[in-house]
Amino acid sequence: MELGLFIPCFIDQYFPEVAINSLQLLERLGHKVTYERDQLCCGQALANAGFERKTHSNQKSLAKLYAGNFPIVSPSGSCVAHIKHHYPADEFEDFSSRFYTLTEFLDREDLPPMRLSREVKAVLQQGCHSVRMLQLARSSERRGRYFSKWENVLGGIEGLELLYTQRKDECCGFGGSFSVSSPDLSAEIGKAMLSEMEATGATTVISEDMSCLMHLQGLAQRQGSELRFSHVAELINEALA
Amino acid sequence: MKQAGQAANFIKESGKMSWHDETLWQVREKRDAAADELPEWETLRERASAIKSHTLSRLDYYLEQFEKKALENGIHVHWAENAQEHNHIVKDILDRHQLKEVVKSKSMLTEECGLNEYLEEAGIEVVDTDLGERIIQLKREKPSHIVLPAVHLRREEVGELFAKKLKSQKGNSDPQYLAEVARKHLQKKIRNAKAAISGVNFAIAETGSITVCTNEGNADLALNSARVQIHCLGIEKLIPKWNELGVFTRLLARSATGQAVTVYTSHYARARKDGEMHIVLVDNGRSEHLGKDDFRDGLKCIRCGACMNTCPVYRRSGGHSYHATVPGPIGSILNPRTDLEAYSDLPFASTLCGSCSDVCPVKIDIHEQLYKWRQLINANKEDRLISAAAKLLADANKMRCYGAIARFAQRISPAFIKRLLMPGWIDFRELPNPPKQSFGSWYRKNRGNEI
Repeated sequence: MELGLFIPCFIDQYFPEVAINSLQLLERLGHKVTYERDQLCCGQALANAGFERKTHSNQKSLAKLYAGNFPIVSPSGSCVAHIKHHYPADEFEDFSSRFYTLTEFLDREDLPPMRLSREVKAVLQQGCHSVRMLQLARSSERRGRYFSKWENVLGGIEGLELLYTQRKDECCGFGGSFSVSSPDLSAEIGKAMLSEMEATGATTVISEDMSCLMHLQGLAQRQGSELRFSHVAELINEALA
Repeated sequence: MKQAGQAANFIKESGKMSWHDETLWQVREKRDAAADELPEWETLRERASAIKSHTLSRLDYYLEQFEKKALENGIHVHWAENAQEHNHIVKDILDRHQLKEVVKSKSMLTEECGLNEYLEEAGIEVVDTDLGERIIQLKREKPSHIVLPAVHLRREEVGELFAKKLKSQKGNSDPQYLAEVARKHLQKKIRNAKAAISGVNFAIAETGSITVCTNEGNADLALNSARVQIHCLGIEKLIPKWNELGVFTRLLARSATGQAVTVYTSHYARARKDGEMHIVLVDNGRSEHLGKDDFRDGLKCIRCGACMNTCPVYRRSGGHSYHATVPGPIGSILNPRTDLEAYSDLPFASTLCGSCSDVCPVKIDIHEQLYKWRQLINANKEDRLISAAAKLLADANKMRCYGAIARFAQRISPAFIKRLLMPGWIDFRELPNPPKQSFGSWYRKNRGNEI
């Protein structure tokens, strides 16, 4: 089907391989993907810092650029959550309802067999926006039937062993501007998560959110850790190849 | 000092961060196990939330119904518009009975009003009889958690405190021994008390009665020993009907400590034959809070503390870092209304992870309110860096241009420049590797002819 691809501003500038992999995997699945180079930041960082009022032109511009009926897919839990939950509903409800994170979208698809050419032991970082705001999996706090769209999509990948940390979905500590306004706390929360990740024996950390990974990777590199950090898009594209 | 600074001190200087984090995480795990036992857990949360929302929408009606019933049962009902009036009312009751001593069981409301300090200044001795509250009272500290007031203290510290103040064995920090020391010390005070003050977990409009949920027995012992009993509560503690109480008692202890129910769930409906029962209903800004569409749901709170136990920030900062009577996530959405400037840091003391909202037994949208408070706090602020960032992020050409420049600059900058520009990040983390081309650039080169 026809799809729009929304690439978060920092992925466009700093993690282009995540966007390339997202585009390629959607095309491999037979979709016609449109990417508008003039797309802007969704405004989340400024909004979370208390300046949502300065992001209105971004909101309008995005809605105009991607006007239409087709679904819009994005390799980012936090951007999609922000667009769906914080864009003014009266103006943008139809627009924001068309957004899906990558895994959310793939969970609705009939996926072909997926296989990695190597054995990968990966620990899944369940980002807060993805879990609690977008319900990609049942959070550890809630009760009721357990579900996980990640397990639905990634579980079928041959060669992939999916692991979890002890504290299954505690925050990674990034929190946007929190990472620099409360750097000590941000680092401690992230370091605690890294220890648990190391303890699983995984070689790679995967996530729906490059923002979480950017923070964790930064901490890991400072510690001299050998953990590798990959967006789910990279893994899925590899498994489809 | 603002929360971020105090948190940094807690991390760097107290040596307690990991222990405090682990201790409260265990309480969160106990809560999880208790919730596991009830297949109807989410239904209960929804019911509790609905009952509280309804009550708040008719609070005036239910308060008057409560007063009518309570008066019929011979209870003295007092109304306090603010903290000062509350304190005067309580002192007045004690003065009329010529009492210079009173025992108290846990009440965050009396903390909020500064009752202890007020009474002590008037020459009345107040003895807090909860173990945790007594510990911090002896130590001259404020509670750091609304359910576990002394959770920030290790048992060695309690041992030292008791050795100094209660003449316990020096160096003995065995919890059972220390509890026994406290018990003997407090029992004397409780049994001799002529007046007892307690908090209230639930006030029931239909019956004019109040319910007090405790674990230690101090409240029950005190309220049944003393002739004069005084119960203080915020007006939001009301629920309409007796048969709705069960929804809350099934959620409260499980959310707070992981117990199925508190050891004592006591109901007080009338004074003892030779006694006097007083209820003090306190507003102290709650009506004003009720008038705020975005924030009124914060008044649904039943003071379980689950949001504190689950919060990655609270666990690693300690409750004192919030410099407020009620700390943690719920405190961060209640306190700013009382003083926006003084508490402007609290809604930012969060990563907006949403765990608090998910554990809240009455489904307060804490993480959404934190976001909304942030907009209010900065509504009239102008920040040059933010304005510059906003202009940049709103312009695709500027983004392409400055993005490329930033990546290039990062590749050629020495470490000390990076440190100068982004200390908060660089102090703890490496920066991400700056790629040579953006995705937009790659797309133009590889897909550019497919428009």
